[in-house]
Amino acid sequence: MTVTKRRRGVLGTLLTPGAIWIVLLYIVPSLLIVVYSFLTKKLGGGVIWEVSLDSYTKLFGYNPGALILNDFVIIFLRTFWWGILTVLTCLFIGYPLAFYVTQQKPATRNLLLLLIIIPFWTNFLVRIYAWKFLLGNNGFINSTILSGLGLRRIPLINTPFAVLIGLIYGALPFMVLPLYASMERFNYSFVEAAQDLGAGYFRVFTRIFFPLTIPGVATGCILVFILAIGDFVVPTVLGGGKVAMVANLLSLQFGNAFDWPFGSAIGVVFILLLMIGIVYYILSEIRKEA
Amino acid sequence: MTDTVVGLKNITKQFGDVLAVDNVSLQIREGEFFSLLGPSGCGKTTTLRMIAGFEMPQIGEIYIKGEPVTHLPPFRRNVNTVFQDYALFPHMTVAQNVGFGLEMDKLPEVEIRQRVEDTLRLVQLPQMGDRRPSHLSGGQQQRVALARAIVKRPDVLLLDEPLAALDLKLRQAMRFELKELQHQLGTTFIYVTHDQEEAMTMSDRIAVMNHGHVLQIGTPIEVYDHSADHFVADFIGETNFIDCRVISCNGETATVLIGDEIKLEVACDQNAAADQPGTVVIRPEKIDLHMKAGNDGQETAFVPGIVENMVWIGTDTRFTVKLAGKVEVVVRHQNMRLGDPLVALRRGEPVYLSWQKMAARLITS
Repeated sequence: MTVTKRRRGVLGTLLTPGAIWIVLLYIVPSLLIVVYSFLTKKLGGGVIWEVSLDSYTKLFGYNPGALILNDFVIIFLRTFWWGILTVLTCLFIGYPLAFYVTQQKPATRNLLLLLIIIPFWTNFLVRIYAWKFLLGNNGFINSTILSGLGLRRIPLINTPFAVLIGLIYGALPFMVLPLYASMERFNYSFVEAAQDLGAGYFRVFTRIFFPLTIPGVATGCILVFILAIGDFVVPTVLGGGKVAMVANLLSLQFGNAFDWPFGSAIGVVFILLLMIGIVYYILSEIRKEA
Repeated sequence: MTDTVVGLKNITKQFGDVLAVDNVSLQIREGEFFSLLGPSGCGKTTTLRMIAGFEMPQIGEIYIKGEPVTHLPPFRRNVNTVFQDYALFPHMTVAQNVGFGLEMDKLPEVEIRQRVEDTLRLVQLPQMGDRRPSHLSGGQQQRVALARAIVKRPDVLLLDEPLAALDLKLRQAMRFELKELQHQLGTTFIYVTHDQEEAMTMSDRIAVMNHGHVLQIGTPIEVYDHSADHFVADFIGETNFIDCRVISCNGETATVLIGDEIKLEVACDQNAAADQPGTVVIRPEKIDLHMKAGNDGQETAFVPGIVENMVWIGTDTRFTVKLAGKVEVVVRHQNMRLGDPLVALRRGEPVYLSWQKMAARLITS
């Protein structure tokens, strides 16, 4: 009994730095945002300590300029839709890629993993600017490839397409790495057992391999989705401010419109929407364990 | 060859530079319990995997029920495997695991449920169908793996060291259960093991392998009493190897000289040239110990020796006896009688050895 108590004490001590970090830097600011969202806007930034629901009515209320949905709701929907598109595309590209990597000899495997990680050594903003040069009206694709083939130039930059390319590009490694980890752990004698019992290649994949790599799929999808819907750089640089996502809306409220309560309300709604998904995932995992 | 269910003809399998299986031919009969026995790396598992279809031989043909299957994938062969690590699907229940193969054959659900239930009862795991494999003990997982493999009623059941992961007591109990199950099903079992005791207790026939070769195929008694060569005699059970020189040999019996003094008549299978070096092989339990020299008729001449060491093990006593010319021989003496004067022997005391003439055999390979 004393041993376990002491052990608990030691483990508690180990927890302290992390706990302080999370409480001070995550929980306190998050609560602050919740509080701000119910206060009154102060001209030029900051808040007046007067309770108000103005921010929420503005976010969900009737917007005279729009037909059915208000502009803010449209930005939310667009952000989530693009998040889903990014996740699906990353999964579609990343799953075969991760599988290919796991099938290589260890030396090749490590080299390929390094190649996947190398882009992280360069600043994300710089890499997205590089895409701007590729996709620009006088960029590599338009001026070199398309005109080289004698084709007409097509507008790429500042379109939803450019934003999606950027989002997928940025998030792909976060899909590949968890997938790789789950495939690496996969025990290939399951494949032999399934084949032995009469399963051909297709059914080995659908009944054995894919179900057993679902933890990697889930982790990758959650990571990519969170990264994609929270992205600020890609829609700014490659969307040219014409196709806003929630992060752009947020930065606008704090930076240009000086409407801190409204910005906070957007943040609160955003976090709550995300949490629904994550809590559902965690609960289903717990249920699976039981 | 109507009763041959699996035939291997001149099978050779190479992994890179390593020759795993070298020109192996086997004829496995309908309904027999056939073991592939050998140390790790001898090619027994590779041979089994080629029958299952997980590996393809570079040379040779494999036949199952007379049909060539050499290059068929595993899912086109009517054989099933019990894997060493069981390979139970962790995301399925026990019943789903056992029913998987039937589901692949697209059998109606009612029949699948019935056959899964029957098979689980056969391996003594009724009521376990809804559990996950991870919630079972090692022995129970082993039974599920067995059930999953037999539920499809294969032509041949392949077992790759299925008992290796179990503890000794369970392993010994499972031997009899496996043998009993095989008897009930009447299915041909091909059993891979490195455990000679396992192979001896269960098999109808054993193929002893080493370095990719089959050294001997025979019943447990044949392999034990008429080991084809030094390796087989050494691998199976305990044996005395005594260096000797051949004096004469007629193909059935040989006269050999051990050291400079002991001249013996022993059995031999092949002809050996005079003056050729050889080894006399004799099992410790086939040697009789005597206090004095005497004549029992059919026994060989009595060989005198000195007790070098003795260990009392309850059922028997293990003597190390030194013969002339510093030759040491191990003898297992059954402790049949109370007050046996032999058991009271001490180190350095004289003793006499004798055995049936045919129990000692000359090996020249």
